[in-house]
Amino acid sequence: MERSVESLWKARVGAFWRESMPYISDMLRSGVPFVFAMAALTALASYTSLLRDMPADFPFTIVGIAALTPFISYNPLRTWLREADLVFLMPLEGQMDRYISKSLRYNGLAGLAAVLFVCLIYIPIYVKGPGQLHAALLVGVVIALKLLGAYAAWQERRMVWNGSRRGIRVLRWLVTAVCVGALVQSEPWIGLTITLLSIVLFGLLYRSMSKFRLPWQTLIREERKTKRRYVVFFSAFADVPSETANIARRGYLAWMAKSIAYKQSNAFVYLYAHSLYRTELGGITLRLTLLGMFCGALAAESGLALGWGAAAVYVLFVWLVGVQLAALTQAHRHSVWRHVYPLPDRLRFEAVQRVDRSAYVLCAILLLVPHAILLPGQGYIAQLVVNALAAVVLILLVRPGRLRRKMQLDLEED
Amino acid sequence: MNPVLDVQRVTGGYSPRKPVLHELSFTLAPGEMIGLIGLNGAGKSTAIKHILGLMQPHTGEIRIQGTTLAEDPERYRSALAYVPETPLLFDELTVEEHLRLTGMAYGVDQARYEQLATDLLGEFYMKPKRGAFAAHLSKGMRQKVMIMNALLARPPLYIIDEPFLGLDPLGIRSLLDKLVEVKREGAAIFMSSHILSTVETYCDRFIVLHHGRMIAYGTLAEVCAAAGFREGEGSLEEAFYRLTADGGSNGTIG
Repeated sequence: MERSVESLWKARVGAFWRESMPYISDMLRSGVPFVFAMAALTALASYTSLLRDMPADFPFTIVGIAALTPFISYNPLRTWLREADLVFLMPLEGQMDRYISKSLRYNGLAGLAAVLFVCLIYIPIYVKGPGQLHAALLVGVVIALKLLGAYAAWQERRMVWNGSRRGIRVLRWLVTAVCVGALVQSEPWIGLTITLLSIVLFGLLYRSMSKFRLPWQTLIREERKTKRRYVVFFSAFADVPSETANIARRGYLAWMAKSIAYKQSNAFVYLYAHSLYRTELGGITLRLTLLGMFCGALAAESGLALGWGAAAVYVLFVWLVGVQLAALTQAHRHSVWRHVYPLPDRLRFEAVQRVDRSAYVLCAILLLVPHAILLPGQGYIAQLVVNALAAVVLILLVRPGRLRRKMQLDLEED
Repeated sequence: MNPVLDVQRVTGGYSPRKPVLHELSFTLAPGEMIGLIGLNGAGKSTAIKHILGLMQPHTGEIRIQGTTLAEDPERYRSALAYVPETPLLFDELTVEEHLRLTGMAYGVDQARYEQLATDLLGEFYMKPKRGAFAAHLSKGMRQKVMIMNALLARPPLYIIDEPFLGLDPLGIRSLLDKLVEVKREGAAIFMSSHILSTVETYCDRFIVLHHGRMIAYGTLAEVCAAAGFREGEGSLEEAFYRLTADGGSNGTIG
């Protein structure tokens, strides 16, 4: 029986990759790897020039915290558990340790590889800064923190109360940031003492919380969320059978849907506006825009490649946001209400285009903000104008025709 | 009086070589309620899908308000509201937003929409849940949302598939009261259900579907007669049992 639980895990991982393969190859064909390779080359060029001429006022500590904290603290867990397991797998809870430890290993190794990669990038910067801890020791401590972080994240998943779980997770991220800051800046004994003390205190905190032996519901919920994210991501490149959406209220964006007038021709606009800002698609677009603003600010501030590097970062993120937003065409494609409502499909097409255009313009403007603030001061006006023009051409001239063709093609497939 | 729904010799199914429905013919007049009953797999949901236009008949014709779906899709669709067997809600909309979307889709005047939405939320005891998402509603509540949306559209024809599943007693009562009300106002109702006692009490005529064929059709007396009861004898449940329990040996009608 023990074997069967392990082989079930293997079968599920295998099935996931088999199902994902066609979408991955669609993604590879879409040109994303090329864009990323270009972006990586640009980043590598700026990285080496940064190492060559390290500015005296370089924020070593902040960069260290920003680079290492997320990679140490973020510990996702794929378990491939699903609702039906409450009926069929729950009776085997006694043997589930083996199942879960396989998941912990699977995710832990990937996380460890990611954190080592970040160390590889950060350490050459660190050694030029004021850090006193030996670089090799820093890497060792980061690896230890990563392993402890994965263990801590597992303990948090086991917690009975959702509020405690969320609160302690936020606390862990903050304390990790403080520890990383102390390690890369303070004297080694201070950094190590703060870190050790934090570990002990967290250990005591986790011990005091009531926990499930195996948090079935939490794991199933997390798995469902992760799966939805994959679906949303892949649906930007291929038609992925959609499952139920992951919903967030996002009250701060409600004004957009509220501004839609009550009339029959707006029914689909009303629906698609909600579909965009409340589902995972809106979440990804939002995060991507924020990341784009951050990267844009870094590139613009450093005047990367005479401002043209910043322009390239801007166009890259505008393009990426567009790729994600295109997944909106897949929303409600197979809904029965599309056929029952007394509304022609033409209105649905127009609604998708209107919502897509509004969201795209808004994201493009937000992405442009750091450039508009930081580029003119350095005299890079032309680069800023080129950015704005590129966005206008992409969103208002190229985009509508592309979306129309995509939806027409989907309609013919249906 | 012109029928709201006119189904004539409809044969249909998922594959042209293997029809599920055979020669279905019936009409539904304004202010009338027909109960569609049959065993699991008899073809009830397939019949409803054909009426909705989600499936195309192999042969035969379906008219709503005198038009086919092909002739005038907007008129055909705006004449009907649908309550599916399994609630089909948009995850990203709250209860109130579903009502607003339906109001917009069916072109319900805004002032009338506000009034109807408030009334329906009260009548179905859903006011405390008006801002809730589908994921936070029980199955019965989701079903109530479906029913409220259909009632908000105020169409001439209601297609209702197993409406009582998951509803609490108050919900069932509210639904039946509303159906009586819209029927009195002239709406036609086509309802599929396994709760035969309720169907018998509220419906004017009945269709007994068995293996995709109508084996009885008409008033309670006519269905009982088809089942071999003498005049004034038998209930819908007894008639249904006789008609279907032995494989429907009474044969088809029409």
